[in-house]
Formats: sequence, structure tokens, C-alpha cells
Amino acid sequence: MRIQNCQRLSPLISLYVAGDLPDASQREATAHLAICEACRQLAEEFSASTSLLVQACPPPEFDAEFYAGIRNAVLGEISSNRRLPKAWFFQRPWVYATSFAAVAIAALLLVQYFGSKRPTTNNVAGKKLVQSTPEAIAAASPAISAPQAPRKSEDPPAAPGVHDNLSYVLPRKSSKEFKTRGNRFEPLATAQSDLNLSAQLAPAKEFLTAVQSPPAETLTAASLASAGTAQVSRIEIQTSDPNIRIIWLTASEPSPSENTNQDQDKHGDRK
Amino acid sequence: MAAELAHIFLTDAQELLPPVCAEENTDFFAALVSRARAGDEIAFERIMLATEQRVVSIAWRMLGDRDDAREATQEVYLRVFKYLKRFRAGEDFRAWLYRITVNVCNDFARKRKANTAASFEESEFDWEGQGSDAARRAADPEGRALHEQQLALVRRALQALPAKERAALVLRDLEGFSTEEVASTLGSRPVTVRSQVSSARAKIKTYCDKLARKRGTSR
Repeated sequence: MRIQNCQRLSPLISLYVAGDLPDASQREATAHLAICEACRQLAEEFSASTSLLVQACPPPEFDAEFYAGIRNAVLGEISSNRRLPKAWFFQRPWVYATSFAAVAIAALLLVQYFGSKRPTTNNVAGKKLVQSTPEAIAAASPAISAPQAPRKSEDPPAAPGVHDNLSYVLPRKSSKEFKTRGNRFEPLATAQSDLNLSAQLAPAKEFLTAVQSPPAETLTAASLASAGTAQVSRIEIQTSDPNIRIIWLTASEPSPSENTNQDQDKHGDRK
Repeated sequence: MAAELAHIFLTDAQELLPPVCAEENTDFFAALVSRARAGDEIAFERIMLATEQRVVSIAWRMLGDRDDAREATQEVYLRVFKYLKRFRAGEDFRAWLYRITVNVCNDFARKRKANTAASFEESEFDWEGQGSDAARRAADPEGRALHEQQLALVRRALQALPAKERAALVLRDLEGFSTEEVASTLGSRPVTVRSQVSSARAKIKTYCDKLARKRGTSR
């Protein structure tokens, strides 16, 4: 019986020494220690080791400067890092999420607003494009009506846009280069220099100069017709910059097939 | 006889416990915490003044190094300030503070164990300045040296304990908390705390017994 009590109580001796056991267990252990020499010895050993532990780790005896240093360091860190609750607002993730959403919505609205509004004058890379509406060109010179002459009269007037604007801008060196084959445009090899393109655009320059100068008699529709040109070719070159389109109006020689058709028409009329 | 034995053991155990610092009551801390939450640095400084000795004591006993204790205490108060908003009204502020202290000390001990192989010699050197009254009173130089050696071994045994058992033992036996207070601080049940404390005491005692036996055989 006593041995059984020893086996059961010996694990509790350490708790008994410090008074950690419940009242009933405490009383039972006290009664057992009174009659059990071995358990009493064990209790004394636990008491001694606990006493030794307390002696080994006495309360620290640091001076006031030690504590003041800790306080100053903590308060200084708080002030420098702004860990004050004032900054708590900015430590919340939803603040940043809301801000990001607001910025994104604003950006979308701006893109939508400016995307739908086509500018009347383009300013690309600091160069103002030379633009003129058909009416302005017609007012400047009646010759501009000549290119529109081959168009069918029943065609509705095109909306003012890039196609109807006469614009010419020297391409930037970074823009792609094109060569013309009739009305088809194929990108040239990158080895082709800008000089080639400038040479190809030289007639366009001359034509533009002629259009912008009122006494351009040689470019009027009548003059073109009198010169034996029945059609005016419209060549558009789209550069890599979507805002820059080169429109080249030039008189073209009627193709033999067209001449044949015209001859056939004439023969048909005669018939 | 049994009652006398129990009285002797319990009295000894209670006498060995360090005096508990007179800390302010819960309402006092609640008012300070609410002010500190609002950004009042003076209130936070008063919280530090009221609790720093106990925090330093826990840190120093758990880490055994003065510099580590100072750094750990600074980190404790920085964390307290950082997470002051999370502290729920009605909760025991000191238990919350000491829980942070124990966690910070465990972090420090883990880092120290990872960085160096826990240089006990240095920690023993640190402890020497805090010699116990018994050792100071020892007139016999040889006995005093032997006693100091025993204390150093006990400190080594304390540092060798698992983190949870060390924390429970420090709070219960060295800081004088009740089992319920230790459970509240560590966020566990009193039964668990009793088990941890009992295991830690048994390990300390076993460690001391082995060393005593070694010393006996070496002589």
C-alpha cells in the first residue's frame, strides 16, 4: 500500500513542495510524507534544488541608467519609425487597396475620355503636322478640287479625318520605311536608308508645295486633264506612328487596259 | 508531524520566492493603454515605468545575458506599442505583456542557439555580478567557490531546458506567479503548466544530482 502510494505520489512531490497541488492531494501527500522516509527525502531534494535555482537566478540589480537607456531607445525607435497610432491608418491594407482602385478607375476614365476625342491638330514629337481640310484647300486653290473630280459625285462627303486631311511630315528616322508599288506598300528591308525614302517622297514635297501655293496652275484638275492625265492617284503611306499618314496625290498615266476599256466604250457609244 | 513538514516545505518555498513588485491595478493599466492607443507617448512611458523591472527580470532570467535582456526588453515594448490596437479591453494587460516577453525571449534564445552554440561560459560570467546573498555571506573561500560553481551549474541546467518548460519554471518559481497566472500568461491550461513545471523541476534536480555525483567520484 505504501509502495503504491510512493509510486503514485512521487511525481507529485515537486508540486507538493511548491504548494501546487489541490487541497485534497496536498493533504494526502502530507500524510504520506509523515510516514515515508524515501518520499520525504525526495521532497527535501526538490526543495533544495528549487532553493538553489532561486539563489542562482536572483532578481536583477540593474541601475536606473540601464532602464532609462531601454526607455529612451524604445521611445526613440517609436518616434523615428512613426509607429504611433497616427500612422495606423496607413498600416491598413484596405487603404492601399482602395487607393489603387481609385487610381485605376481614374486612369480608365482618362483613357476613355481622351481616346474618344480625336485631336484636330496633332503634335507628334514636337512637330506640328501640316493639316488642311478640303474646304480650306479648295479655298486656297481650286486645284484641290481636281483630285476629288474622279470620285463619283454621289459619294457622300467623307467625314473629316485623316483620309481627307492633306498632311505631310517627314518620317522620323525611327519610323519604318516603305516603298510603293502602285497603291501597295511594302516595308523595305531595314538596310534601306532614309535617303531612299526621302527621294521617293520628293515628288510629294513638290506637290505639297504646289498645292499650298495658289498659283499652282499645273496641278489643277483642268491642267492635269489637259496634260493628258485622266486620273489622279491617291497614295497613302501609313508610317509606324498612327498619327502620321502621308497622302500623296499624283497624276498617273492611264493604263493600257483602261485605254482599251475607254476605247471599247467609245466604240460602244459609236455603235 | 505531517503538518509541520508541510509547513516547513511550503514556508521555505514561499520565502525563496522573490518579492513581487508592487504594480498598478488593472484599471490603472486600462486607462494608460487607452491613452497610449490614442498616441500618448507619456502614457506609454508610464506603462514602461510600471512594468519594465518585471519584464527585464523575466528576460534576464530566461536569457541569462544582460545585453540580450536589454535588447529583448526593447523589442518587447516595441511589439507592445505596435500591437496595442490588438489588445482587447478587459483582458489582463500584464499577462498580455508577459506573454509577449516570453515569446520575444524564446525568439532570442532560438537565434542565439542558431548563431552560436550557446556560450554558457559568457552567460555564467554575466551571472557572477549578481551573486546571491548566501554566496556573499560564505566566509569560507572554498565553500564559496563551491557554492558559486553549483549555482553556475543550475543556471546551465535552466538554460538547457526546453523553451516552454523554462518559461513555466521562470514564471512560477522565480517570478512568483501562481499556476493560474502562469497559465494565463502562457495561454495554456493550469494542468499543462503544472506538468511543465513538474517536469522542469525534475530535470533541474536530476541535473544537479548528476553533477553532485560526478563531483563526488572525481574527489
